[in-house]
Amino acid sequence: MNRVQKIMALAILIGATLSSCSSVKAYERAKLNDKEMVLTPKLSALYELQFHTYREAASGANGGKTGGGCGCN
Amino acid sequence: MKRFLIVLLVASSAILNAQEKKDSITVDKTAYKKKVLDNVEINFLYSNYLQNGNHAAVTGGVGDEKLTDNTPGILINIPLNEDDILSVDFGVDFTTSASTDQINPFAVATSGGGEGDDKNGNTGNKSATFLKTSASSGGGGDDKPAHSRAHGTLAYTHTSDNRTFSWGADGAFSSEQGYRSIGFGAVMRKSFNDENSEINFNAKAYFDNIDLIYPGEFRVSEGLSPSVGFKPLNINHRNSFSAALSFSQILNKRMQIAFNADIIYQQGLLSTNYQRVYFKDKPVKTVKNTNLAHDIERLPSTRSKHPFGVRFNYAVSDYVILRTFYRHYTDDWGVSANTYDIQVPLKLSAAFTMYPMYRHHSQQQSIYFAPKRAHLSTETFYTSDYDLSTFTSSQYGMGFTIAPPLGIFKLDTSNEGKSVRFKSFDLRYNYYSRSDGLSANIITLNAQFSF
Repeated sequence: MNRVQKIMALAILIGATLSSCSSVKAYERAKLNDKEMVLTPKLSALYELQFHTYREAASGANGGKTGGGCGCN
Repeated sequence: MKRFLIVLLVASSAILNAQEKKDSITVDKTAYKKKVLDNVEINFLYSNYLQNGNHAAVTGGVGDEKLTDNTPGILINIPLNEDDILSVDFGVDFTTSASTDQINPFAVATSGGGEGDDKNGNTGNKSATFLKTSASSGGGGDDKPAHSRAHGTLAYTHTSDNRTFSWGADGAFSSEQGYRSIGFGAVMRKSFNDENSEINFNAKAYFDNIDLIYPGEFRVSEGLSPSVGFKPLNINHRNSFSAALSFSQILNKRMQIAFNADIIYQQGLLSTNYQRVYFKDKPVKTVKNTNLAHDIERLPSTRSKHPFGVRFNYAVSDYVILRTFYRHYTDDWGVSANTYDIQVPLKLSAAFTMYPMYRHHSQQQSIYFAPKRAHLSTETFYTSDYDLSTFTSSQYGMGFTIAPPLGIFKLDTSNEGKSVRFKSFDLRYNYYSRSDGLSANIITLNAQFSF
C-alpha cells in the first residue's frame, strides 16, 4: 500500500466514522465517562511506553515519547 | 378597554419578568464555573523493569543485555483557580546493566575510573560504570553502582470559560551521565459538536546534548590499533521536533474512537557513540578477551518518523470494556512497524477492576542494520543495534485497579474540612518477549491522592 492509498484509506475510515456517529447528550454518557473508556493510555502505562521507545524502533501516535529527551531510538 | 389594558400590563409584566429570569439564568450560567480540577492531585508512580537478552549493541550485537531499572516518580496537578492547572512531574531512573562495563573494558585495570580528556578532546578515561544513554547500553554490572537519570516536566494548562477550549505550555529537562536535554511543548484542545468531537494538537521540541564517549579501543589513551585513523564524531547534539494531531469522536452511548497522527523530525547525532560495529571484510583482533571493533555505529544525521494510530473503546456491558489500539509506523531509515494492543477491563465491583492485556508488535529492520560481522567497511552508515532489527514482540499481563467512588480512605487534616483522600491504586505486571531472544518483566504502579 503506497502513501496515497494509505491517506485515502484513512480519509475513508474517518469519513465513515463521522457519518455513522450519532450525537450523544451529556446525560447519556454514563458509560463513556467511565475512567476505563478514556482514549489515552493510563498513567501507570507511561513507563511501559517509555521502555517500548528504547526497545523498539517505532514510537509515537500513542501518547508516549517520540524521541528526544532520552537516549532512545 | 380597561380590562384589555390590565391584561396587557399583566402579560407584559409576565413577559418581562420571564425575560429577566432568562437573563439572570444566562448571567448565572457564565458567572458559575465548575473548577477544571477540584483538588490537588498527587500521583506516586513506580516501575521496576528487568531485562535479559544476548544482543548488546555495545559489543556489536553479541553480548549480555541484562539490565534492571527502577523508576520512582511523582506527578502533581495543582488547580491554580477555576480555569488553570499547574502540573509538576519528576522522576529518577536507577539503572544497572551488564553491557556498560564493555564500553571500555581496558580501563578497568589501568585508569581506575578517573576522568580526563584525551588528545581528541574526548572524555577518554571516564569510568565505564557511569555511562548510559539507552536501556541496552547503560548502567553497570549487578555489583556496580547504579546509573541514574533525572527527568522532570513543568506544565501549565488554561481552559476557557465554556470549557470547550484549552491550551497549555510545558518545559522539560532530563539529565544523566553523558546526556542532557531540555524540551518545550505546547498543546491545544478544542471540543465541538456538543462535545461529541474533539481535536487535540500537541507540539514538542527537545534539545539534547551528548558527551562523545567512545569504546576504549578508539581512545588514544588506551594505545590500541583501532584508535589509529579513527574518525571522531563532529556533532554532539540531537534536536527532536514533533507535531501530533488527534481527533476523537463519540460514536454512540457505548463507543468512542480517536485517530492520532504524528510527524517527528530529528537531526544531529542520532547514533549511539559507544556502540561497536564489526565488518566482515576485516579481521578481528582480540585484546583482554575483548574483540576490538572496526568502528562505532554510524547513522544519518536526520530522521523523519510518521506514526499513525487509532484507539477504539467499547463498553460491551456494565462490567466489560474493550480498549483497543493500533499503530502503523514508517520512517525514512526504512523501518516499518505495526502495533496492536488490547485491554479488557472487567469491573468486578464498583471499586475493583482487573484488566488482562495483550500487545503485539512487528517491525521491519532499518536499512542500516546488519548483525555482527555482516556489514562491509565500504558502507557509509551501519549499526548492529537489534532494536533496529526485524523482529516481532509480544507483551501480555494483568492489571488491577482499586478506585471506589468516594476513595479508598479519607484522612482529616485540619478543622477547616480539608482532608487527604487516597483516591485510587493501579498495579500492572507485563511480560515482554522479543523474537530475537530478548525478554523483560515490568511492574508499574500508580497511587493517587487528592487534598
